[in-house]
Order: sequence, then C-alpha cells, then structure tokens
Amino acid sequence: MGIRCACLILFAGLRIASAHADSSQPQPVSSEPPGHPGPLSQARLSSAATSRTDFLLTHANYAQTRFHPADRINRETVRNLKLAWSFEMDVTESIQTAPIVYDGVMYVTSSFNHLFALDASTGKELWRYVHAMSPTVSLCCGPNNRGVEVLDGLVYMGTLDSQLVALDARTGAVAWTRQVADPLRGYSITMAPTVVSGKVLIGLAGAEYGIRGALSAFDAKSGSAVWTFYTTPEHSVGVWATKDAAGLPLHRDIVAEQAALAKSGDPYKTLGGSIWQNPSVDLERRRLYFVVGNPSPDLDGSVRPGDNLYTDSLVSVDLDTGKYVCHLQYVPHDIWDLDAVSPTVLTPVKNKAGVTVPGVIHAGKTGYLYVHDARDCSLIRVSEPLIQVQNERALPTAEGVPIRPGPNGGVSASPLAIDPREGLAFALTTELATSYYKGRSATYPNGKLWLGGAFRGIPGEVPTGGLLAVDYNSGKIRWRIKAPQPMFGGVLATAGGLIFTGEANGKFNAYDSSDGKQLWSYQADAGVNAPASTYEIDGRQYVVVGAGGNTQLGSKRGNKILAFSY
Amino acid sequence: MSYSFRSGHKLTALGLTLMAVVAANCARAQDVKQWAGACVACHPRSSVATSSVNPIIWGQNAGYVYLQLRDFKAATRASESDAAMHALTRTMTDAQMLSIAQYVAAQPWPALQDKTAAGSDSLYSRGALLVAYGDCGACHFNNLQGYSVNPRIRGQTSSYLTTTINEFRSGKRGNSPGMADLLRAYSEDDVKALVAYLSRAD
Repeated sequence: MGIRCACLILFAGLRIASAHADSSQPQPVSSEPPGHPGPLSQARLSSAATSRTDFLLTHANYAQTRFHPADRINRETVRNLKLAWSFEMDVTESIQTAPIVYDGVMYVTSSFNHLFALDASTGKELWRYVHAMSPTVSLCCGPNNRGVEVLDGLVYMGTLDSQLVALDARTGAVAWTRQVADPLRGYSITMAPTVVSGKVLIGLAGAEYGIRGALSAFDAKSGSAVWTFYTTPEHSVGVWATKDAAGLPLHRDIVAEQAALAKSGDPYKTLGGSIWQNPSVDLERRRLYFVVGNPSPDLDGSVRPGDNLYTDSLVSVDLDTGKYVCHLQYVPHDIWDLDAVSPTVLTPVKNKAGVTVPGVIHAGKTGYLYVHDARDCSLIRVSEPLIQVQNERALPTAEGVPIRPGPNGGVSASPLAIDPREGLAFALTTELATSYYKGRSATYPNGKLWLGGAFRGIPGEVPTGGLLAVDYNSGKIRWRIKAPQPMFGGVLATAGGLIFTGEANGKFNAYDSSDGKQLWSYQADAGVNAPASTYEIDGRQYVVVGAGGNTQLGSKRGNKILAFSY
Repeated sequence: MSYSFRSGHKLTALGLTLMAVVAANCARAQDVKQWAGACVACHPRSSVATSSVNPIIWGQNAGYVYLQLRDFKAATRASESDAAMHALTRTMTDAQMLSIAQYVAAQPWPALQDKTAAGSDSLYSRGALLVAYGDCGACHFNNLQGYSVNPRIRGQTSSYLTTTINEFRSGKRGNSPGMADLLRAYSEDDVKALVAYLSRAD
C-alpha cells in the first residue's frame, strides 16, 4: 500500500515534468532575482575547505572530506534546530542532490535533471532549468542526479542522456551543451561534475549495458574537449590476480580465461567501468583520484577474460593531461557487481610504520574501508568488515547461492564524511544477503541490459543498515549504529562535533561524532537518501538536505529540499 | 479475437501478405496516425481483455516502443509470434519508428478487463513479494511504470506477460539478454505469481 501511494505522487510529478520538457529554456520566477551570486572564482573553490559560509563543491572541498568548518550548530545547540524553510521541486522521485551554496544562492537538482536556483535564506525559487530528455535513456538504479558545481559564473550539470550542460549561474540561460556519449548505447551521467582549473570533469555510467567507461575533461568556458581517460584501457588483462585487495580468493578459472582471451581478444571496448561520483582533486600535486565501477557484463566473467582493468579500482590520473598515474584494483575479474562507487577522500593517514603520509580513503560495496598511500595508490590497510559477510567471493550457481554483501553493498554510492581531527571516517552501510545465479554467456547486446547472470532477493531476508565510525589509522570500527533499513544517501560532518545523515524511513538525524549518540532528529515525509550540506548567512548556520526517497531502495518518494536552522 | 498474432500460431501466407500491404501503404502515407490505425487492429485502445496475447502498447514508454520497433525490423526480436511485427516494421525508417513511438506513448493506457482473471489473491500476494525481493523497481521504477527504454509492466495483459516472460526464459526473445538472465532465476510457479501481480492493475 505504501508503494502504491508513493507511486501516485510520482506520476503527479512526472506529468508536470513532461509539461516542462518541451523546452529547455530557464523559467525565471521574477525579472529581478533577489540572488546576486558573484562569479565564484577558482581561488574560492581552492579554499573551500576553510569557508564557513559556503558549501562550494559536491563533497564540500576538493579532498571530498565532507567536513565543514561551521560550528554554530554544535553538540550544545543542535537540539534547537528547526525547519527554516522547505522547497518543493516539480518531480517526485529519488533525490540524491548535494546542495551547492555560495553568496546566498543554492543550486539543487531533482531526478530527471531539473535544476533549481534558490535563495538560500528563504528557499524562494530564483530560476529553474528543465532538461529536455532524449526518449531513449538506459539507466541503472534510478533517474538520479547528484547535483551541480559552479565556476566563473557558469553552473554545470551532467544529464541522464549523457549531455554536459553549462548555464548562466544568475539566470539559468544555457551557455553551451555537449553530447558526451550516446544514450542509445547505454551511456548515462548521474554524477555531479567537478570543476577545477578551467575544466569540467565528468564521468560516464552504464556498465549494466556494456559501455566503455571514461572520465573526460572539457573546457569550462567553451565546452571543447580537453582530454579523456578511458576506465578500461586497451590492455585490460592485468596480472591474473587470484585474490582481491582484502586477500579473499577469487576462484577464477584462469586457464579458461586465457583460452577465451586467445580466441576473442581483449574485451576493453565493452568492459564497463562506470564512474558514479566525483574525483578528489590534489591541487598541489595536480592529480585526480577516483574509483571505477563494475565490469560488463556484471555477473559473467567468461566473456571478459583478465583482471578487467581498471574496473573496481582506485585510479589516479594527471589533472592537466588525464594521463595514468597509478591504480589499485579492489576486486579483479569481479562477478558480483562489487563496484567501487563511494567517492574518494584525500587526507593524511598513518602508514604501516606509523608515519603520516598523504592518503586516499574509499569505502567499498565489498563492505571494507580501504586506506591508500596517495603517492602510488598502494594499499596501506583494509578495515575490519563494516557489515556481516557471508560466502564472500563464492561462485554463483544455477540454483543460486546467498552472498553478502549483495549488489547494493556494503557501502554503495553514499559519500563518506571524515573528521580529520579524530581520524574517523563515517560510513553508511546496507546489510543484505542476495542470491547469485549463474547465467548464460551472451554476446554484447548493442546497448541492452547485459548481466550474464541474475541476482535475486531472498524472501524473508529483511535488509538493514548501519552508520559506522571507522578509525582510518587503524582500520578498527570506533562505533556503530544499527538502522532498521539500509542506510543510503551520504554523511556530513561539521566542526561542531556533529554528523548529519538521513534514513529511508524519512528521519534526518544529527549525531555526536565522538560516540554516535543521536542528538536531534526530524521526521520528513519521504526517505532522506541524499547527502546534506551546511552554510551560514548573516551569522546563522543552516543544514540542508533533500527528502525524495530512493528508487533502488524503494523508500517513499518525495520532492522536498529541507533547510534547518535555529 | 482473431488477431492473435502473438499466440504462437504460425501466420498464414495470406496474413503475412496483408500485413505487408498495410505496412507499405502506411509507409507511403508517412503519417503517424495512419500507422496508429494499423496498430489498433491488434492493440485496442480501450477495455483490453487480460487474455489478449497482444500487449497493451498505448501509453507505453516511447523509448521502449522505439527499441522494440527497431528490433522487430532488425529481427533481433524474432520469436514466432513476432512475425507480424517484423512484416509491419520492415519498411519503416528510424525517424518513423521514433515518431510512432512518441505518438503511442502520448496516448492513455487502456483499462484491463477482468483484472482478477490471472490468478488468486494468494498468487497475487506471492507475486507482490517476488517483485519486491526481485528489486524490479530498480529499473521499472515506482509501481513498475517503467521509464524511457524500460517498459511499464504493471497493468499489462496476463497472456502477453506469460508469453513474453517465457520467451525470455527460453531464449526465444533475445533482445534483452539481461532481462532473460534475471527471469531464468524464477520457476514456472514464480512466473504465474509474477503475472498475477503484474496484470492486476490498480
């Protein structure tokens, strides 16, 4: 019954969406918008980590710590937090947007690529842009969009039909658009772009459809192509690894794989490797760090011999040229859909000798948190399991074998937050066993769904979730909160000693970051499955989050952006 | 109904010739509404019997309809029961197929007659459970209404659903290998439950 009710709301939303879809023109609410955002320079973006007033990048700063220095809302004052305003978007579907705020203006997106500029102190709409969508869009996991970024007066959004759109940040007028890839061949974009050094960086998704994944840089002013890094290189075979990064045996039939390689060659052209989330940027070393998703087809390795580089990997490339620097593969020759999805975090970490070195952190669908040396991508440590595991890396069978984590993770697309003062990373998890079935080998189906097997929920298995604090300098779990539903959306940590995250049941909560004690909660009317942002205007701190539910979780859908203050 | 092109019976030579004539006329007319007139012969616009082996197409998502027309033409969707659609689409251009798909998608979804005919309440409940645990909504979205290239599957006729699910499972319907893989993880009894749930629209 709950599903049915949510669906009626969905279709109300979609009808409105289609009414707007005839035109991609912005629809200003008034001729004299109250917001007058400045051009937002690279200098401001580069110092985003120290800005108390703004939330300038998808994951707060280029290191993607999602740690914000604002502390007016803290462990003492958070109990006074109340809804300051709410804004209803014209689409009632999954919300995963990470609100961007600067100079008193907020940018948020809905599913299906509707973009809204709001007055960040009142929630009043300044303008909206409704993307005219291609009729042939192939999506995994919902019509999601994870937000926008802004540079030098232009706001940038990637679209489900694989376009990159640049709009005037003050009016919403389209400055330029680029078709990045062909949606008819299964390519889509759900991530927010990353803007840096005059470039817009965007990654492609679609590894359920046999794409060749890529991260591309476009000139921010003109939209012309600068470089492309393919996530599946022409030599994707690798080292015929027999264990994954956590040391688990992969049970590969390498003799059969080598025979398949001799017969059909390197599978890189249709090998998948989606990018779902923003890269971290190291401006000093001019490097990008990002993670790459699963190989295609998801569950049948026989048609893609080799380690399937760089799927399920951490990759670093040069920011200016896109040239490969280093990688580390978490799951070679993955046949369990164990994408690396959650965005990377750059922070100093202790290496095995206890020496502080530049580090990269990623939490996997595998259910482990990985800590790397950023200089060469090498693995320093793997955390203890963040979830209960079962039959890890077991081979699928015709009858189905229960495995946890299943294809939703572990830690899926939800961004981590860290508190660098404490050396803690905060992660959202799903706990669910899923049956994996061995399938038939099919040849590349020209952009159609390509799984090579099946996964199926187990009736009676109730999915749950968790919020965990992991000491990334030891790999130990500091504290853990169990949740009655899968936790999906993202985490925000603040200098006020708080972390904020939502739940599929509509709760939006604040916790003491030191021990996980819940200090405040608000009940929204839809699942809160999006990452929160925070900002200050006129000495008043706000926390903002989307309450739209989630397609894949099936949590109740909504259409609201909620801002809290006191 | 005699227009049971999807019933699995072999079409007669006369039937195929007639379809080819209709197709040729429509191609010349290049008029989407005329094409739609040909569609209505087998796909009624209202009050569809759940025993109809021909699927409901009106109100179906444009991307899905376009890809099916493309695949019928290219014979990548080519089970025995697809012969009529292959004949109909043979002369269509890509632009025509897209126009037809967009026209079809803009029409209201017809109501199903005898909604409960496909199965008992217990079968319906079991189907609901299978859909929930099968994560069908991840691609077919809220209430299984689909989006773009993924079809609406809720409120479809039970006979069509049974036929096409079984064709996926057997490999006769080969134009979505991923869907075929997923459906092979279900038993024959599961399929009956899925059909009972999906065909009983709200």
